[in-house]
Amino acid sequence: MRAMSAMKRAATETRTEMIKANWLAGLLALALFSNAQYQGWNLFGHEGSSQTARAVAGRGHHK
Amino acid sequence: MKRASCPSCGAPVVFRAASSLYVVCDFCRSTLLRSGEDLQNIGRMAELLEDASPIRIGSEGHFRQRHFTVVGRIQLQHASGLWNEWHILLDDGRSAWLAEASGELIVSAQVAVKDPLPAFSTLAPEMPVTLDGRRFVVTDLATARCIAGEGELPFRVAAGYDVSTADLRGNDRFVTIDYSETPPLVFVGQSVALADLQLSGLRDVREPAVAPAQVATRALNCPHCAAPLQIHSPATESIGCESCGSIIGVDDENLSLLSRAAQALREVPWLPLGSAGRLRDSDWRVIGFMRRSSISAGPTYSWSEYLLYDGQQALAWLIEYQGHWNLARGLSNPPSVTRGEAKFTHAGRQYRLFNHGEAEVIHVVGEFHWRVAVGERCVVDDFICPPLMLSREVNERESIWSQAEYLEPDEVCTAFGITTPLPVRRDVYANQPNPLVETHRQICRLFWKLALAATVVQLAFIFLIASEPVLRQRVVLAAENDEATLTSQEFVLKSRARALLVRHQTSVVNNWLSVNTTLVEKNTGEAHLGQQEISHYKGVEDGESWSEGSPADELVFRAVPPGTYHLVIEYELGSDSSESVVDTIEVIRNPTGWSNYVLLLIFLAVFPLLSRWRRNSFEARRWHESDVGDEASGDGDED
Repeated sequence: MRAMSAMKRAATETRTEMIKANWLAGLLALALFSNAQYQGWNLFGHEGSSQTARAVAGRGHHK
Repeated sequence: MKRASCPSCGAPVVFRAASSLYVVCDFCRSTLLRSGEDLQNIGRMAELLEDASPIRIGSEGHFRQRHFTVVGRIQLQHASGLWNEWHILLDDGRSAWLAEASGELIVSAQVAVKDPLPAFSTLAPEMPVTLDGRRFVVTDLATARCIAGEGELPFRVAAGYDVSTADLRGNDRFVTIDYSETPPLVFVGQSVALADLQLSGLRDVREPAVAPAQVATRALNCPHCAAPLQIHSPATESIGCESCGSIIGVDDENLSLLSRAAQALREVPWLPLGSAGRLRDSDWRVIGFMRRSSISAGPTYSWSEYLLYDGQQALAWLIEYQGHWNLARGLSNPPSVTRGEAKFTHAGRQYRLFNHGEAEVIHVVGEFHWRVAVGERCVVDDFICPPLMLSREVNERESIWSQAEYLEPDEVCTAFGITTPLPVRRDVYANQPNPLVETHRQICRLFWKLALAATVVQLAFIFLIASEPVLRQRVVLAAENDEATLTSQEFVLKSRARALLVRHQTSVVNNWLSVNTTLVEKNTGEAHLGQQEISHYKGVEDGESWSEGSPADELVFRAVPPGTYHLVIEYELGSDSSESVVDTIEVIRNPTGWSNYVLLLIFLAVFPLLSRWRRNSFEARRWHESDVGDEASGDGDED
């Protein structure tokens, strides 16, 4: 039916951009998430720092 | 079948139906009463008015797979026009009636009803009536005059015979109560489409493929200004003269001036009268134009209605308001909706009341299938289920339902080949489809797909790329030692760790603990430092328990090279409590956290929430135009 196709065409034009943007952003977010999980990134985690200074061992004791 | 000769003129007459008591002679129009083997001439029947109905005596058709033949007709006239009641004989010997009025066909047969029938004077349009347990609603009240008859008839018909009838509808049944006899006669039937009757032997029948441009027309002149007029539809009862604005009644071949140049408003229809086009699989011709206006309290608004005729039987309305178009047709199976009902379900769709008001005809041009008049008023209720809208128009005599379907303006232009600019579309119309419903639905589907993918990735990290505990050690801090430095057991990282999680699970309560953790590689002495404050306080105040802080904390070292490691942990214990503290230290290589997963889901949910907001904004704009309140709600929700 021509009316249905006309309505569908108008609706498609309206939604295409948002759906495309959603696909793109969703896939990027998924990729970022996968990488973050692989790297062990955590937005709320407390991160230690690296340094090359030699630590003095033997000051403590095992319990 | 009984054959006889007309006692008046000698012409052969035939009684095909056993129920037929009368026959009108085709030649001399004598009304003949069957009395045993004899025929008695009881008078001359008046001439039928020419109405150009395609049906005639002898036409054949099918109803519910049963063959029938048209054997007689009575012609009735009431205030708004003519209608035919065709007497049909079914092959099983029973007879019924095929009513033909205003483009609608109804097959009905007389039935016996046990319930007492309401008096005609007590009926009003939209009034509910229960007959034998079934609920009907009064849709039309008419007092018609039988003007003529032909062929075989089961009762005597005389010109000038008045018939008061009430039409009722309920579910898909149509009931006519004929008050011309005592007790009243009840006929039950249903509306049928012309094509479904598979009629043959029609008069002047046109093939459906014939374009409306070829529809036969009658040319006449306005009795007031002599301007040329055309009649396309046999159902036409009145014409609005484009030239002088007079409204002319159509009776047979005669015209009568109903309203002399009385129209103050003159408007040129955007779609010219006579325009032909194909819309929704039917060929249409524009035969009438009407401008109607609301007369309810508040701002008045007006809209255009074009009457379309398909060249055969069907009539439809093309309605335009603020650039929005609808194609409306009469509803033969209207819903049973009482006044004030705001919601109902019809044909599987739920409709909601959108507008309630009174409408008035302010301008008419062209043909109409009833005696139209400027100033004609009715109460209108619009119920919507986009792209459909059901409208109920009630006046003092009848209740009419129509179903409108929203059309894109381009479709109207294309259908009628109009090149002049369209009326500008403004706002959101009552039954305008919300394009964002489908968008929202798709975005919700996309959300679930992406969420599923994220879950699969998360589960893969948990189960396939497993995190590995490399150290678990329990340390007890005595309360009397406010500072202590401890070295953990050694552990080995065979390969580079992307992340190394150090978790302190302590038993600290109402105290604080400062923890400086140093990850030290045994051979190179390379150190990674981390500092944490752990504090945990809880208690009961005014009968309510409270808690602050946490007894556990985590620390992550990134990109830790392979090697043999141990932790050097410096504790400083607060003096708020005298309890010893137990710290369970866990070191986990490549831990999989949930916070990223939760963040991702929150991010992905933004899109459906946004599309939902946009969809609801459209609905809010739609309902802003409603006079029954803002009911913007989330139809089509699937999130």
